[in-house]
Amino acid sequence: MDWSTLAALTVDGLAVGSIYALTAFGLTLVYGLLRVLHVAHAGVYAVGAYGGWLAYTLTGNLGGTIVVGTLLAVIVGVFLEWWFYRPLQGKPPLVPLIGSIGLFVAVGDLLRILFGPYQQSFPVLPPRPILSPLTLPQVAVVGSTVLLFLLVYVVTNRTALGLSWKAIAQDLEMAAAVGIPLPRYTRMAFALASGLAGVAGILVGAYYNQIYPSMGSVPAYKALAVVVLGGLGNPWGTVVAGVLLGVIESIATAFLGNQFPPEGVAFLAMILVLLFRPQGLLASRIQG
Amino acid sequence: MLEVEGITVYYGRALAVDNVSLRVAEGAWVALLGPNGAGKTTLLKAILGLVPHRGSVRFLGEELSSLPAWERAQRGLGYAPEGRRIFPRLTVRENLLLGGYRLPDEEKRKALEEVYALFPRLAERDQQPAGTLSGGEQQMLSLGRALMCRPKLLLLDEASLGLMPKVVREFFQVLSRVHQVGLSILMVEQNTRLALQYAEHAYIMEAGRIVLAGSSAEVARHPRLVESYGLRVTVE
Repeated sequence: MDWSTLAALTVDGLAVGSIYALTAFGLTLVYGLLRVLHVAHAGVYAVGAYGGWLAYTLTGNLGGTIVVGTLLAVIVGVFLEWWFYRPLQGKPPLVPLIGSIGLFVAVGDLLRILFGPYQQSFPVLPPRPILSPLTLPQVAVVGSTVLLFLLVYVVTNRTALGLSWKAIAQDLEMAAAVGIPLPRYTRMAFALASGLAGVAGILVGAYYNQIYPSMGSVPAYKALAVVVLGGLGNPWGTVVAGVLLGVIESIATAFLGNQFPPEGVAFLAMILVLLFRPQGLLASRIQG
Repeated sequence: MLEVEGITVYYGRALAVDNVSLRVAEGAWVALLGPNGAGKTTLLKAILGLVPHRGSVRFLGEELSSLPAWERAQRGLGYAPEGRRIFPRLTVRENLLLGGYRLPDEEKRKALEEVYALFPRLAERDQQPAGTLSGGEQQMLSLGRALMCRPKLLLLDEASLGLMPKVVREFFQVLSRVHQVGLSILMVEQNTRLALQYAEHAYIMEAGRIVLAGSSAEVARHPRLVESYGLRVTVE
């Protein structure tokens, strides 16, 4: 394998990894606050993709595609928090987990009923080269991910909102005892998480020029692996793990060909991490 | 200022607090004493809304029992819990700012200065992650965080536990300073002797019930206390 092939694989991996990171970040954020694995998050991701696709089909407008897809994802995510997760708070974690899997299946089926079981093409980002050898979809995916995470960094580290999230994640009961209104912050976390997942859904649809009702399935379980790799509840560990996984998968696929399915990489890595480094690849130094 | 009536708490099917009533007058320092597992911590948590409970919690004339914990805290309850429970991966300053969550920014800054004046050691550690502080410093931070919201009533749980005797004395001295400027205190304390010296009133709890109540002097002289704790406390 020559260097230019390796570079191309790396770029493709960065794009795919960006999408993993965008999806898994929200999962970690929600897990940190509620200690619940929000499996239906991948449904929100599919909703974002369909929202964007619908807007694109109707208007052909790129800005509208992004706004409609993201907003729809935020609305659905916040609705799920209010309607589903909030009433289940205080129940054993298995209850919202199983419910969440059911919700995820229901969202996929709803999309199937509404839009049919077929793949729809989503040619919002034509794969023409810009900044050769990079293509427009690659630049758009990686560039928007970097911008979004800069924004997320500012929100989580420079605002009172981010500080309150960290407090809730570290000690929910004490956060309530100092007067932090938990439901408001949980809702805002779902809004941010769902917005990022919505963008990820739009980007992945545009990147592969296709969307389909069960498009959330692979991200649903792969995001779990990414969250574990990053250290449960450690958002920036998740981002690093997501990008890393994308790159490794891309290169491994080229090397191993069809003998080893690329989807296996995530789970092999997850199993190894669980066995030898259960605190995640990037564990925080101060344990609480 | 605080009137607790008929508080009952169950953990699953176990009765932890059994129909307890208690009062803290404006400006008072009240100690809640008793053996481990008596339900003292649970009673504090019920007052704060951190565990589901039956019964009434009136604070400054307002019924709190239907409010969630964060709204009760915003009415002026400061809480320094057992085990300190500081936010370990946040800095000292961030811990304190969170304590002042309900205050507007300007007042929050002022409150921070006041807490730093009270605990110069915390000011020196301003940007340090709270989890790296010593036990005594963490206890100061826990108290500082509780004071940040300018509480009208401070609820303290086992503040002296695990601290060196010298640090415990310093801690009680700081408490009596904030008490003198008007803060009411309800403290759960395993150091019965020290608690009865500082507090004006005391309640003794056993197996979920109040078994003895009165001024600290009365409680200290009571045969039941002498019997249970094998100590005689002199209270001036």
